[in-house]
Amino acid sequence: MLRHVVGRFNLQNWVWAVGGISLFLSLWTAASLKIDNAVLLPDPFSVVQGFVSLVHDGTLESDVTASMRRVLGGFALASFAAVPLALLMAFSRRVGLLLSPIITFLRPIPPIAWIPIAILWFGIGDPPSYFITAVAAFFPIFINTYAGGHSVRPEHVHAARSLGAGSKALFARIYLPSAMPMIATGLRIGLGQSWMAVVTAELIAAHSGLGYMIQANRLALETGLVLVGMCVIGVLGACMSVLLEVLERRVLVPWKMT
Amino acid sequence: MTKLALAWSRFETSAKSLPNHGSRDWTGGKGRILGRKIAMRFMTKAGPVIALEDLDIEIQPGEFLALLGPSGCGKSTLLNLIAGILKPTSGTITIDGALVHGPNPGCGIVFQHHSLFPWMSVLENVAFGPRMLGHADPIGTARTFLTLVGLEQHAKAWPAGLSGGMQQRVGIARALATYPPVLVMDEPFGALDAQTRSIMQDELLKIWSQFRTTVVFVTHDIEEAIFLADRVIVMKTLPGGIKHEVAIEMPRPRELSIIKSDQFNFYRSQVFELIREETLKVFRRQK
Repeated sequence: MLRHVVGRFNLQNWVWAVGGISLFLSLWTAASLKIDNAVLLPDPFSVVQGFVSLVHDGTLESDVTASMRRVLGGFALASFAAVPLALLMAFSRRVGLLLSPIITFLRPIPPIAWIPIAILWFGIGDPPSYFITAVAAFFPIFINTYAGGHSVRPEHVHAARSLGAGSKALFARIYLPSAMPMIATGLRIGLGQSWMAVVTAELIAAHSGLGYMIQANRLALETGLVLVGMCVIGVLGACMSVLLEVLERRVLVPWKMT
Repeated sequence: MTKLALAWSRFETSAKSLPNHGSRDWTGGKGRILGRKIAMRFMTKAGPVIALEDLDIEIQPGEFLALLGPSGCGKSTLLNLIAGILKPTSGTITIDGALVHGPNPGCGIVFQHHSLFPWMSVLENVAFGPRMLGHADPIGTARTFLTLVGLEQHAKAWPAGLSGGMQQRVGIARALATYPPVLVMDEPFGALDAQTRSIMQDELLKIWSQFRTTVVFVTHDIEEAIFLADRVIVMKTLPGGIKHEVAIEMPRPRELSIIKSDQFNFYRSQVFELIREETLKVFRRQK
């Protein structure tokens, strides 16, 4: 879906994209005029005003930084744990059999359900948020990497062995790149999940960040600022997704696929 | 091309110290394949299937052998056994006296599909073997072999950017770049259109004439088998095994025009009859 937006520059595609955004903004404006209640639905212009004021007093920057740090920290933790573990499980039958029941059992538990225990273990602030973002990112990364670990073609293994590859080279040069497209997909989904989870975690378990900012402004009936928070989350999430897609095509999976 | 000749002569001198059995010792006697009492049974849901039974085979160093037959005759099974991809249920296969267990650098492989590593450039694909075996200057060797198959200008391309015929040429270059005594090819041109296929056959013979490595070539195309091979083994079904061997006594180098000669026609009708018998046998059983 995003490939349409980040693909090669195409004027017609951009015209449609801008048209879609304009349509959204005009529907929003129309609705806010009809409702005529700034607490229920402020109009886009007052949201922009709120945005400018939050930029000026510096609170938006500190909230964005706090959320971003939690997302990237938790995401990094999850990546470093999930990718090696999933590959190990894919390649060793025994490790796979040993650990797959645990994974199957833990996977359906939503990240939100971890929040109470995260507060008990880590208190309030950064540590529980790191924990929640890591839990959220872990499973998509794990499951995709695991599938990728099984996606190696037997022809490639046979060819590599007939060319003299030992087990180390087989892993690093055949299994790992075979799994890489799936790993990249897992990272992309994991980052998205992590970004959603940080807001949830901050609503409850933190005194900073975009989630906390939304919650605080809800209590103050500052709906305009709540919407500023939501819009910033949306825009930053989209930016991170696009950046990761660029990273995928330039660094992780640069080769052309059929 | 001189670089290639140089590399090859180095390889040959190192191979000369090895015992020399064959009558046609183009590779210094390397690449003799010997199979004794080979049997291969698979278990399927419908019960055991005998893919090969009590098969003896001897392939001379430097011989170009074609395995021909209808599907289900076990020709690919036999090739996979020689390459070490499959293990026989019973019996032994040796290459130059060494028992085959597992794919190894003594036997290069070219498949029909998914031969190349899509995450490596064309050049890196060809350099992979020399690199793994710790040869000096793998990139230089790879360039030489890419030149040999006429693809030096595509060195930096990704495999997926090449046509099917070009990909198979890279596959051949990659398999040869480690100078294997044996090369097995499993319907390497099966997915190509008729024109490209015919050009590739001609190319393959030209390349092979410089190496004279032992080739085991699986195909279901009668003309391809006769045009390429010194000997065509027609396989039988139910149970799988060798039905008949036909020695192709046509001079080399062979031009594409020989497929119009009387001698070629004679071989073609002979082999055609043999295969027809097998196909009819399967057909009647199914009824």
